[in-house]
Amino acid sequence: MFQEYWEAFLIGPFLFFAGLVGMGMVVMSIIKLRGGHLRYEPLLYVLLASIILALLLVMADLTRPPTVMMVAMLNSFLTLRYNLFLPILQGEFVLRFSWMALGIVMLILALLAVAIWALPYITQRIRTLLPPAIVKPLEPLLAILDKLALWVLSKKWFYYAAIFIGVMVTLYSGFLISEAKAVPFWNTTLWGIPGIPTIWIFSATAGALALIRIYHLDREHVVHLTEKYGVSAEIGEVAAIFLFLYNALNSASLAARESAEAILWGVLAPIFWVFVIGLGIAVPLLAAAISRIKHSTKLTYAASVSGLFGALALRTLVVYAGIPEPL
Amino acid sequence: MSETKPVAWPRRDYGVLVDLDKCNGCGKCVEACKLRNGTSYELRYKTFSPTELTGTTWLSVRKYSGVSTPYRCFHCYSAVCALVCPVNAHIVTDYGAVIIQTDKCIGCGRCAEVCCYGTPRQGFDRRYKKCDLCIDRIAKGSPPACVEACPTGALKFGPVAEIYRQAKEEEARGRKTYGVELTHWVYVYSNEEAFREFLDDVARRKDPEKIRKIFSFPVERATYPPVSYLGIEGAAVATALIAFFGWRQSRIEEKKRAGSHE
Amino acid sequence: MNRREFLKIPIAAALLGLVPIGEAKQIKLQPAEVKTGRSGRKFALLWSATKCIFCGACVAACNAVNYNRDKTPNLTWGWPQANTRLVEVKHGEAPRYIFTQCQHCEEPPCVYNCPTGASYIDKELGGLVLVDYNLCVGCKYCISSCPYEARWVNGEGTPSKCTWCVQRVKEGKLPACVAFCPVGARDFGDINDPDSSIAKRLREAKAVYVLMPEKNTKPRFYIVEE
Repeated sequence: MFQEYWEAFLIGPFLFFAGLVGMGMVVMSIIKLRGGHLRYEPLLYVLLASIILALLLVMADLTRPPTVMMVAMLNSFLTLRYNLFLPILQGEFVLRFSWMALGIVMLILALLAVAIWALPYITQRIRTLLPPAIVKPLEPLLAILDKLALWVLSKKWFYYAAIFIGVMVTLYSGFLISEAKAVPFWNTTLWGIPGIPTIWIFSATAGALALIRIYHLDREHVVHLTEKYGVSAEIGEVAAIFLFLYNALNSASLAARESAEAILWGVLAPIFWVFVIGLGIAVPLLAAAISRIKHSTKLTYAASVSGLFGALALRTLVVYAGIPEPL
Repeated sequence: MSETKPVAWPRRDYGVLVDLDKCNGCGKCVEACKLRNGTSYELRYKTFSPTELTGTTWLSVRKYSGVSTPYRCFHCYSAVCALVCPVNAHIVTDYGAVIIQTDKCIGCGRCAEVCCYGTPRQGFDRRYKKCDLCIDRIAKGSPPACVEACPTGALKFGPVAEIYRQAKEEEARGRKTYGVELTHWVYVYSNEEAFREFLDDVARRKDPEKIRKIFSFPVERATYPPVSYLGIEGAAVATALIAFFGWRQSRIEEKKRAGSHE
Repeated sequence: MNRREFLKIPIAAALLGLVPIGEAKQIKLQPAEVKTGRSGRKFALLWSATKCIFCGACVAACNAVNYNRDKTPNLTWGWPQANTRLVEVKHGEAPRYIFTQCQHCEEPPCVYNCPTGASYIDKELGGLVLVDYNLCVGCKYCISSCPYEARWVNGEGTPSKCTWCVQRVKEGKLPACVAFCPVGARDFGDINDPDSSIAKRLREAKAVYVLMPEKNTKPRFYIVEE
């Protein structure tokens, strides 16, 4: 009954990590631009690991990965040129491009951006952790990388670019599956606005804020700030999810209705209500409410982790639950 | 197959040209076929109908609006019967003939259900039988029994390219053909109405649901390859590790601050 | 807007979800208007619901011509290895059975969504939608982009689909399903040419349908009633 084109257990985690990296870059850039002091180093290591993991996961679902290295990366840039820029140059104002092509470009840019941002910290770690025998010959290279990275990081446009790339990566992770026309459930819109990218933006924001919160459990004002915005993001997320499911239930397409019914009260209902709503939304909201009254680091920590697992479950569930349109 | 390659007509293909204007309905082809497939006793005791195909009658002659029309397996190129056979008893041979290997046949009847012309018929042993283009005779170099027995020369045998060429020549002369580039049993005729009657009679509409069920099989949810499970487990482990390191970082900073205060 | 008012939205949405809704009627086969192109050749395929006897010779012919009579099953469709299949249109005015295959749409979502350009439209060959297997990475985006489920995953993990037997069309022959239909229920040709047999049949047909035109893909597989 459910679609078998994409392995939900590979693409779901990929979407989760892509969203985390995307909105993580956005939130961190915004805080940096406002002069906030965060522990950027561990966060950047997390983002770097996430984007590498995301790329590995998406390549694991391809049946011919070696071709990706050689041909596909290059072709993605080329097809963007043909499908996106050329029509505009020729006067056709129709934007027709492959979100997957754009996504590959954006993921590579995100990898570069995170790598550049983390570069000063990485070079420092190399200098301190590796034995001097290895570091000595590498020193000129490290110096150049340091200079380059610090120059880029001192410019404001880098952070604006990071915000743009982050938003595009998160949008891409949503549009990727909402443009798959074979599965009407994924195509469901929120009165014109594509539904899944909206949910993903809210969910990824909540996830990025939860991530920052986990690394700043001892700093009350950071916890408070991330919880405030996290609650808004989670409320937006749950509203978007239920409006999306409502539209899917009312859809003209039978496949969309079946998917929504399976999620709400069908075979997938336990996973939806326990993991996505329970762990992902209810627990963080409850913990945020309780932390107003009484501060408990352990509770905040548990609630943030639970929120992250809920986001992972949400993506995996949505990919799994797609049903191809029956004739 | 990632590349589509054209499958040319094999060079050993043989075919039969049936000229309906020459057929006089004598039935000698039917008799010869029965002599060859070992049911000549039916000829003696007249226990068969020359117009019906059965498990023992593999060639029949029917009349449509006065035109005698031999009717038997067309040995189509597409050979739906061979595609649906579950035990590969029904096969397409090198000679272009589509035959049923009787010893392998289990009598399921799928070939009979899908046959466009309704040719395979069930024998007394519950297995399905039909014309096999006398491939044992072809292998020895002689034409099929029916062709050899035809007194008027309505049946002609030869390599299929030659048969098609002759049919196209007849078409140029104004007659109509059926089966060129389609089957190995090609008709040439002038009476279009009679032939239409014949086709409507043998190529009957089938029950689409039955046919769909014969072709399709239920697809169970495939078991995931191990790398797929690795995906979600890896993600969960990675998330847990991220969380753990965050907790650890915060505790270290907290301890540091507490330490510096004292 | 304070938090309380903000929370009213999801609650209202949840309550709305409990309201019973009527089932929307979907008609998958819609009457179609055959549009000719501006220039060049525009190929289309016709399938006659009245002449078809549902014998499946087209399926076997496709299997013989394109897959070398390979009897291993096609796991995506639960069907033999052939590019055309018989489906039951459950959602329409009456249950009816049709043969469906790649519609070679004019605005194919599979071509637009392909990240490497492996799926492309061959404009010189009348607008056929083809796959270049050297560029395919097996991402399966095209398979999940086709609303007609016309593509299936073959043994090598790449998509297989009806190509209108491009290797035969290049030689001026008809596709296998058209050529090997015993009753002539199918037709193929250039609809830009008013003298082609398919154009004549489309003009003389009692009714012409296409599948799911609301998906805005502009399919070129016409189902006729003659």
